Amino acid sequence: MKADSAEFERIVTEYAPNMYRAALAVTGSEAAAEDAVGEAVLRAWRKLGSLRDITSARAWLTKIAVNCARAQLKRGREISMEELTAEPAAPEQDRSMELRDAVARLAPDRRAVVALYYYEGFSTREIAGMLGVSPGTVKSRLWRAREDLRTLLEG
Amino acid sequence: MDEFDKKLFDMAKNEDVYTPAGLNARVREALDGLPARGAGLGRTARVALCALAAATVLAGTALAAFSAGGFRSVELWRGRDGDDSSWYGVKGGDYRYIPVEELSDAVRKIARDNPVADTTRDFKGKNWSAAQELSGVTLPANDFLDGLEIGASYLTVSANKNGPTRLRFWQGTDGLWLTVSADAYTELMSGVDIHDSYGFDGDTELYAGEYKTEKGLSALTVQLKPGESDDGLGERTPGTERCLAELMVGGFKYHIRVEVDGVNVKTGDEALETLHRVLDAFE
Repeated sequence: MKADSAEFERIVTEYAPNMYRAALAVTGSEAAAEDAVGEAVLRAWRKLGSLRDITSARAWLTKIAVNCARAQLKRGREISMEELTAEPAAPEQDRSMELRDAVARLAPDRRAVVALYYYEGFSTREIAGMLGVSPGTVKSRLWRAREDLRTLLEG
Repeated sequence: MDEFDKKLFDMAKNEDVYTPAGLNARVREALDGLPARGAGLGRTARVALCALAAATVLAGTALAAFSAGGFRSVELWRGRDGDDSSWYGVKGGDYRYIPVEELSDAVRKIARDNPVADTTRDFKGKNWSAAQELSGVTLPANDFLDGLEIGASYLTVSANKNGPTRLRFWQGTDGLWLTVSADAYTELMSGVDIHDSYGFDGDTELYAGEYKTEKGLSALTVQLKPGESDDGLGERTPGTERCLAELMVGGFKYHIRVEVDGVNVKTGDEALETLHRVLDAFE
C-alpha cells in the first residue's frame, strides 16, 4: 500500500488509543505501554508496505503495538530491592478488582489474547493472524485466561 | 457466550481506561522522528547517548560515592536512509540534523543547556528506566545475579567504605547498559565472554573490548548479541545486536548505544563500526 506520511499520521493518531489500551493490557504499566506505542509507530512506518488495505489499519497497528508490548515484557522491568527479596504474594481474590488489574496478573501470552479479544473485539482468527499462532492456540490461551480471570475476579 | 464471558466483555467495555496526555506527546514525538521514506529504507541505526555528570567515577576505590553529580538522559537518533543523510534528534521533540562529526559539540551543548539535578536513587526518564540504585550496601556481583532472569532490572550497588562494587547493570526499557568498576573492567578488557561468569540467560552473549579513539580516548565497548526476538509483527528474527560504549570525556561520562535491527555478521560489524565512528567524533 502506498500511503503518504499524512495518511500514516492520520491512522496512527486515530488508533493510538487502541494501541495504547492493548499495550497497557499486555504490560500492565502505563509507562511501558507508552513506550510500546512509540516503538510501534516507528516499526509500522518501516513496515508500511505490509499494510495492504487501509481499512485494516486498526488491526495492523494494534498487532504491532501488542508485539512491541510483549517485547517490552521480555526486556524486563524496573524492580526494587524490596520486591527482589520479598516472598511472592499468594494469589487472592479481590471482588473490587478491575479487569485491567486482573489481566496484569496473567501470563504475558494470555494477556495479549485477552487484550485483543475483550478490549479490542478481534475474532480468534484475527488474533491468530496477528500473533502468528494457530486459531486453536488462541482459543486455548483464551480458555486458560478465562479460568485465571475467574479465579481472580470471582474466587 | 456464557455469562462469565459476557461479564468480561462488559467489564472491558465499561472500564475507564485512562489514556494519558503523555501518550499524545509520545506519538507526536515518534511521528516527528520518523526517517524519510525512500529507496533502501529498511534498517535504522539508532545512536542513543546518555550523558552523566562529572562526579561519577569508574575506577576502583574511588567508587566510594556515586554521587553528587546528576543524571540527564538525552537520546540522539541517527537514521539511515540509504542516501547518506544522517539525522539526529533530541528527545522531547527538538529534532534537528547534526552530522556525526559535530556530535560531540552537540552533546556538550545538550549537557550545558540542561543543567542536571543531584543524582537521585531512582532516575527514570522517558523511554528509559534505570535500576534503582542503593548505597551503603555491598554485594558481590555473582551473588546478586544468581537466579535473576535476564529480563529483570539489576540493582546497582554503590561502593561504601567496605569496598567497591564489581559490576553494575542497568536494564533500560530498550537496551542493556553495562558499567564496570576497575576490577571487573580488567576482566572485561581481556575480551572474555562474560556470559557464563555473570549469569546471563540463555542466548545472550556479551563481548567486551577496548577501543582507542583517533584522539587517544579509551572507551569500553560491549557488543550484545541476544537470542531471537520478535520484530513487532510476530515474526521471529535474530535478536537485535547492540553495541555499547562508555567513555569519559571532559569530566562527563558518556554512554553510547548503537542498535541495528536484524542480525547477521555484517550487520553487527556495521553497528560496531558506527559506534567507533561516533567515538572518534569525541575530543
